[in-house]
Amino acid sequence: MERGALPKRTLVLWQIRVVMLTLILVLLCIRYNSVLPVLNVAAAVIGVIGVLVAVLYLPIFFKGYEILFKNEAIIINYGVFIKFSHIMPYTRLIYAQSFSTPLASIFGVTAVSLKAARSRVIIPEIKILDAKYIIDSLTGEVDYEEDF
Amino acid sequence: MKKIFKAHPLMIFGFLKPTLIILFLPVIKGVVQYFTERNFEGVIGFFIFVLCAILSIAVLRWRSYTLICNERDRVVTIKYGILFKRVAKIDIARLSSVQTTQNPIDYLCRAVTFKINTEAGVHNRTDFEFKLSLKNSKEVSVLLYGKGEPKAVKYSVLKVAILAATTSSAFTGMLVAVPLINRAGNLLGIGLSEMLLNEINSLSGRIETYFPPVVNTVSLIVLGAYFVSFVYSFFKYINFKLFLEKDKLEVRSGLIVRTRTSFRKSAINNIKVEQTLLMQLLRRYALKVSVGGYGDAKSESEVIIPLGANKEIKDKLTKYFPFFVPDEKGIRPARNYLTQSRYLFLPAIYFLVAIALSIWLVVFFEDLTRFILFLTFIACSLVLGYAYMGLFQYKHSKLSFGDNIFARSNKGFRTYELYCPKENIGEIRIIRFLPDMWYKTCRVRVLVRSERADNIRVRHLDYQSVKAQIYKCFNIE
Repeated sequence: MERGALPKRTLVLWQIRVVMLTLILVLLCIRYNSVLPVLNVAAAVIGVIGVLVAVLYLPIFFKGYEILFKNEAIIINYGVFIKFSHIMPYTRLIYAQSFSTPLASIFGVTAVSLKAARSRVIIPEIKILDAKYIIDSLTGEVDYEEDF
Repeated sequence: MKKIFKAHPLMIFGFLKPTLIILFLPVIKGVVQYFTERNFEGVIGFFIFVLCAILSIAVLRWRSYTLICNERDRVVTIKYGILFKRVAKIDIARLSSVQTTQNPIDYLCRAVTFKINTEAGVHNRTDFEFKLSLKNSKEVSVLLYGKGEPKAVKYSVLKVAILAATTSSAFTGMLVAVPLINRAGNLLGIGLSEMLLNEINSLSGRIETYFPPVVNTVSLIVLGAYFVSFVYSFFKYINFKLFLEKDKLEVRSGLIVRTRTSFRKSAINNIKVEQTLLMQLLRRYALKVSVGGYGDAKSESEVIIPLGANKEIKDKLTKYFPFFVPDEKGIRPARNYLTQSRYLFLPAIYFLVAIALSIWLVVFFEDLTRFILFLTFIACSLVLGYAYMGLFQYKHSKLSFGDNIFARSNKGFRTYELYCPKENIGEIRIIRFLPDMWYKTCRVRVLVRSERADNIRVRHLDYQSVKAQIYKCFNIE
């Protein structure tokens, strides 16, 4: 059995995403507060939530994220307030797909999606080499020299 | 050994199509500018800039598509995306089907639309779709399924026409025709649907029958929709050919748009033998297979034998798919007067309700007598059809559990046979209502574990026999 965790750069990547999204929403609220004064309150609430998510929630979430490769199945445990456990038997796996955004490419990470009939398990951004190793081992391809 | 295939350049036009609307921006700018400043300065430059931008994006998207076949490890890799890059790896054994379609433009450019389907992905949508050159598509097919010597089975135009006529419905016709009419109307800038409706109204006014004109209008719309559905089905199945290999099946059909679908026999989830109401009159059946993740064809069923007599269908089923043939003696409903009456109980109730309701309506709405009579006629026909299907169930329904599961019953006005290996069964539901408990019977619904989740229900079977067979089949203690 192998155990995997998410790299630190994934946390930084998601923190940047959350901060960027929060900034956009706050700026939009401030831009249009003359039309709807309640947007000032909304901007403050969004700002606080964004900071809390980036500083508190995401580090706890990523610290608790666990990927287990057992003999028969891949098990993914995650969650802060509610704990989730995804179990996907290898026999049910149809195909694996990696997905990377421009920002994730800069950080050298890529997300992996494991697809089964009517369900899928998404592993957040992991190192490209690790993603390659996971996909290769799941699909049975070896000596894969293509670039991701 | 790996083989790399690039997408066909025709794909660029496919990517351009939805973005062409952006080209209207410079035109709008030009019109506004002309009315405000009386000149077109800068419009041509803006137009060229927009055109270059969308063209470059389309070219980059086309270049990003790569298909890699790894012969040694039996893995297919598909890469695409410019900024948002995706790399998918699929074990060849996990492919459900590979479909190629060729429209007249593809034919002129020696290209095909290549669709790769698996049981994963979004329902009713192809997992991976791109254009390949005809030569490359043939090479990929050989790499995926090997080079065999297929035995071709052809079906005549007459058989295809009968299949189209017997499986067409006004509802399907409307589904096909309504968006077409709306789009054509929008493109031409005229109210095409209103014009058609007016034409049908005037035509129905000229037909003199006992029933009011609205009945004629509805009948004409239904007939027209049925005709559209027939034409659609006919052109879909025309030129139908089945190519048989040891482990693989390939179905080719179509005249204007040619479709070729390949799949392994092991990718078949279940087999269905269907008979529509019109087919029942002709004593003919159609054999279909259900393949997981069968793309955007709105269903995962592929017709294997478009039309055949019962013996022909059974012979071919045994010949092509011996591993689906049931091996156990089935359970049937008890052959007695009581069971027969139970099948006819609900139709009788519905018939009485329809008659009572129509009498009540005639008494209260005297002016609408002819229209109510027409509705009663339709309702009674439906109830009689329902009663007939009840009798069919009494005489022919069957359920058997073994290594292969077999069930025969009906779905609406279609007779239906389901063949499925026990490993593919997702769920078996035994339902018992109060009369079932009283008569010690049950109704059983068998669901296939697949994306489509084909299912069948058999009623009024002996509860203890069903339970014993299920327990034996699945080794339940």
